Amino acid sequence: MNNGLAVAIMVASLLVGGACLAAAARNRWLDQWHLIALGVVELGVLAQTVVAVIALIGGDRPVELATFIGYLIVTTLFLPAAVGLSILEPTRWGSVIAGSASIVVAILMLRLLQTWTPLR
Amino acid sequence: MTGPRAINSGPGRVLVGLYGLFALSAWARAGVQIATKFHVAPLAYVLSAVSAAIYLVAMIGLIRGGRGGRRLAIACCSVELIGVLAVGTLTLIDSSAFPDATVWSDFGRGYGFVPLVLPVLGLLWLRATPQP
Repeated sequence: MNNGLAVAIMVASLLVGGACLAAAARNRWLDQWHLIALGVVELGVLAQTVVAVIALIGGDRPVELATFIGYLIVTTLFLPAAVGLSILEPTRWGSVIAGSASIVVAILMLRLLQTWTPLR
Repeated sequence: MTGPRAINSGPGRVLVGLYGLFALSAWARAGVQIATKFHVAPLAYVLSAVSAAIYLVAMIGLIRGGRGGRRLAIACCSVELIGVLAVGTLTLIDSSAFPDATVWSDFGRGYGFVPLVLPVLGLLWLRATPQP
């Protein structure tokens, strides 16, 4: 796990989530730039997943291995699933879905950091 | 934007997403707990799995909609509300009954009390939408 990347993802996902909820408040679905921004957050998450998997293969063992792997899988798949659901509902409520999901990604990233703390 | 809607559109889809998230997290939690330390607190871990199943079925009811979906969702939301209130109260009165946390412990505090709010939101939404 890369701490700097994790913090960057958390800040970005909170900002993007806020922007999506702002669209919901204006009774609108997402604009294209929201979707691009969500894509950038997911790219960050994927990069973090790669870093974590490489560290695991390299022999690092998180304190709570099973929990960490569970969170890693959920975190990686979560945002694409939520954006998919949002696309099915192209109204303000779709913006609520994507916005909440992006904020949840920040929480998931925090839990990942907490369950990581590798034992070397 | 106003006016009656089917239960599986608009805010209903937000509920579907929330139920999906909780089904997933409860499954993940139960899976990890049962696989790694089932003997520590079998009751708590089985309860985690049961709550996961209820979230999943509630989500299916909300997605399907119609008469059957609505009935399924009402049943699941009610069981959930009773479950979170019962387990929440039990964990406060007698914490030894649940030596390890479940989704519903302390009224779902570990999950920002969403497990307590979710069935209430679900029931309100089902009430607000027209009967088929």
